[in-house]
Amino acid sequence: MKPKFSLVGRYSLLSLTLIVGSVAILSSLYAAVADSVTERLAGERLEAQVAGTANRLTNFIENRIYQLETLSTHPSMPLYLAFSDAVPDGVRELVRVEADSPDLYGILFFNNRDELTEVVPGQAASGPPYWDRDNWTIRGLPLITLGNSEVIGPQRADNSGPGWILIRQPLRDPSRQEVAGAIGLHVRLASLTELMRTENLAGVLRPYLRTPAGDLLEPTGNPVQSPPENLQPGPEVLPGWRIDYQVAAGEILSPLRSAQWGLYALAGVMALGTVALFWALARSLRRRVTRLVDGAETLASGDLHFRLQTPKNDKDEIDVLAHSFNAMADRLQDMIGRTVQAEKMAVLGEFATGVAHEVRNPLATIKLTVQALEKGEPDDQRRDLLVAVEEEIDRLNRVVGDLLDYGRPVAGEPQAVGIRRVFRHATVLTSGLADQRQVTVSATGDSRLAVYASPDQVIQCLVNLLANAIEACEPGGTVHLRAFRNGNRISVDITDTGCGMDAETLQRVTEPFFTTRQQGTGLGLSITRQLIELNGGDLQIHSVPGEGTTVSVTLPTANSDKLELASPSHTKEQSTAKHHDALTDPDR
Amino acid sequence: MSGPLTRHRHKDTTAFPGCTSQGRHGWTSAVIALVWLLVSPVAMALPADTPVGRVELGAPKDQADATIACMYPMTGRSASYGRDSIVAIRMALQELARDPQSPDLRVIVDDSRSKASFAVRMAEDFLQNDDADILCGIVSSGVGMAVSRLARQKQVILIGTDHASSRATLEEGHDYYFRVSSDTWISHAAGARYLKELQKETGWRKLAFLGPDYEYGRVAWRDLQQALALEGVRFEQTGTYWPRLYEPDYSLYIQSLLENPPDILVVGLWGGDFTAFIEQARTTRLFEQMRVANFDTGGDYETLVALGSEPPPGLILSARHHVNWPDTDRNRQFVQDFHELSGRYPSYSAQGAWAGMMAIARAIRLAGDVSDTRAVITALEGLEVPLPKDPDGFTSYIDPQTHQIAQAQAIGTPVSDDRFPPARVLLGNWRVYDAESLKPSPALIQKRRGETGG
Repeated sequence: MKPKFSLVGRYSLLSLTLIVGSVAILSSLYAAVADSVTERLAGERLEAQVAGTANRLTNFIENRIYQLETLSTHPSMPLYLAFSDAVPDGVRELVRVEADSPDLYGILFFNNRDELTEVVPGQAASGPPYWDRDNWTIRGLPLITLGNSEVIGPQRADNSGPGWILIRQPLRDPSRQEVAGAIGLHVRLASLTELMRTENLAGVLRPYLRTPAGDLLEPTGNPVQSPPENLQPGPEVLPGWRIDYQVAAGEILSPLRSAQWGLYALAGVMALGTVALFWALARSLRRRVTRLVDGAETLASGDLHFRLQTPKNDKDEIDVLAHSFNAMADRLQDMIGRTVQAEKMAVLGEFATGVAHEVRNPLATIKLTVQALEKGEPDDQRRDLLVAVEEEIDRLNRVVGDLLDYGRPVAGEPQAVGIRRVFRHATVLTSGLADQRQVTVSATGDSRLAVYASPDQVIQCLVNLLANAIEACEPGGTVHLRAFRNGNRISVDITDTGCGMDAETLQRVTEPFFTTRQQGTGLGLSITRQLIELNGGDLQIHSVPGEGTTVSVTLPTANSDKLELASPSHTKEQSTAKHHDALTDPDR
Repeated sequence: MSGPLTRHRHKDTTAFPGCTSQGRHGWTSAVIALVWLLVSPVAMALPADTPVGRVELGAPKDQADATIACMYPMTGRSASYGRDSIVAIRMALQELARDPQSPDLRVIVDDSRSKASFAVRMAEDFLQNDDADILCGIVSSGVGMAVSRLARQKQVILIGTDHASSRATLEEGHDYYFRVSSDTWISHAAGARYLKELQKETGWRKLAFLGPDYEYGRVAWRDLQQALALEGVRFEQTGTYWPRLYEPDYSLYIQSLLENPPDILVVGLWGGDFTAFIEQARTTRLFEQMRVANFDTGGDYETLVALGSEPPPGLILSARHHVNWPDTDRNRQFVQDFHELSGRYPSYSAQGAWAGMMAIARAIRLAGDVSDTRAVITALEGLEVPLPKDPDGFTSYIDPQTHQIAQAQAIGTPVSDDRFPPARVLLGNWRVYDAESLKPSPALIQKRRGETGG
């Protein structure tokens, strides 16, 4: 049955919803922040910054004008024009100190024909007009008037040096009160343009100074070669002088915009990845769950042998579930097998009880009769035959007893039994069969090994297994017995070169009443397994069709304590063994 | 806006060993002389302090054969040059004292404040009040030019020891002006040859110049342009930048450089200005985008100290003297003596001051009398002065035509070297250009002296 809407599908949808939702929230948050930043950078605050910049520049010019007035109104200053040598030292030093201002190249004096008459170099003075005056002129430069002051220039920066402006005021002849010339401050243009510094705007605002000549100057004082785009006119600094500015908010926001697109791209990739991942996951999960469902249905249909293929190590929950499924199947199969076995055993017990009751009494009569005949028989040869009959009656009686025991299994009395003895008894008892089948029986192993089990039952088991092995072999085949220590247990392998068994036969071979032989009862191997398990042992069968079978019997080893405990009964055991040997040992 | 007219002369100079107070007539001078004789051997052995204001060194006035008046900055960003110059003057006086043939010099040093107005007035006072025979010193080229004009006007010899504008010896050269440290022409002629060789190796094409907006920077740029033209180096000029002297913030200029980056940026800043520029620039990608060269002052010891253990990549530097070049006995001895006397290693200004004293002493000795100015001038013209900066086989001499000392110039790059702590790097990978090849050609001298404009 196919689910209507898979669990993986639900998870996929949920994850996609979360991703899309998160991106939507982040996007709206970003938009809000970006708007705020833009407003802060390019809004009213920026206008205020531009206005403040213009004020700084205006203030700079005003301060220079004030500085100039101090000089131009000095009564001795006109002496520089007419009688330079007559200028008092104090005045001369005043002018020199003013000229040393860091914003000035020097102080210049002009006659009323605009000809330079005297220069006082300052700290920054260099080149003309200080070291020579040729080719230096103010003619052709823009001129604006502020009260009685003139702002001349700017002279643009060129290859030989930076630009400058001249702020000039008239000098009046004190006697005739007429203009005799002028005094001017030779000002670094960069000192003006550097005031356009905008530290707090992170490069968003790019101010430029527009001069009366139409030039555009950058804050370093250098002319701009190609005017930037989107240049906006700003406030006027002086008549004809203006701050123009470019709002480059995009530059500072560009990383944020890039990040926004990056975020969208990442979210898209994540969504696609999630869909692809969950699709692949769903396919894999569905395939594996389908296998589990099919397995459950197969098991439910009665195939108790069905098992899921599982990896050695659990990788995920599905593997754990598969392992649990197989464990459940194992336990279910075992439980059903035990139930069937119990039912079989119940039937067998009832049957065996009846048989034993019906067989044992006649056997007792036969035995008494044979014993009477034995006593009266003078012929030794005949007496031996009667003795043999008597022994067979005993063995038959014992077999009947065993059958009764299988039906109502009773554990034998465990004691130390030497493997050598077990092997000898088993091989002797099956030697006739081996000869008849022309099968070679051999045995290897440490003769000191001993198991802790019922001797009779162990011998019975081994005889049974050995007989089965011989019968499985073709003439010329071999059966090999091997005993070895396996930890604290003793293993005995009975290996034949017979026809072997297929997997299906192997699986059922120990079930009661299962047999592949026409004359078999199907109880031999079942009884053997039962007896071995009653003695605390284990029976495993490995078989390869066409190559042979190995039956491995594992029994508890007899430790020294047990051997000692077993010693007092050794005589009894010996006598019992003797009794048994009398039946089976070919040497007797 | 007028500034104070009162000069702040520091008359109390007792904090500096070997100094005496200003003034000094009659018995006062005798007492001073006696005190000087008693304390001078001890004072000469004491470590140099940091003087601020006027100091007097050497012989007292009435025992001196000549009075030398020097002007150095002792406050502000360039104060270290003044301090090192004074230590070097003391070293020179010690050395001269060991030579009985040598004239006894009285050396007055005062703080020029790196201002032309201040220095000119100070020089006038030296001549008028202290009867100075020879003027010397001056770090700032602008100040040097102003005092040079005064020297010409007063017909007093001025020995420039530190300011470097080549205009002082070329366009503005006159009989009374001499310079005993390499000038902007020598360093930038060497720089042009270095750049020519570098162009063959790297193929650089774009060049920009950033220099202080005053005499030194302007002339350095002009010297570099002329030297590059003489070397036939073709390049695209991406910009010239003129921050003011002692500018505290170069961010505008760094930003402009980053927006229009050259392959080579030649910087004419010096002292604390250059250090401040580097500190600001190394926080940006400037050094990744261009190689920065400073051929005249960038290799100064104090600048190397400021570079720390990991200087910015690509620096090409030189200076008018190096503690580790040339590796001669004289240079090692000079550096060691300076260190023993002051506890620190010398900036390049020290060698200039030392050279000034040695040149003056030699010239007076040759002339016989300092009052014979013409004889002293004649002695100075062509005078050979063995200097720490001289590589083996060469002796610095004052070119008689330009009055500029002829010296070799070595340009290098920073390499790890902790032999002169606290500097963690010194210059290495030297390329050395000999003195004769760096002298301005007669044609150039004629051109510059006949040239108008700046």
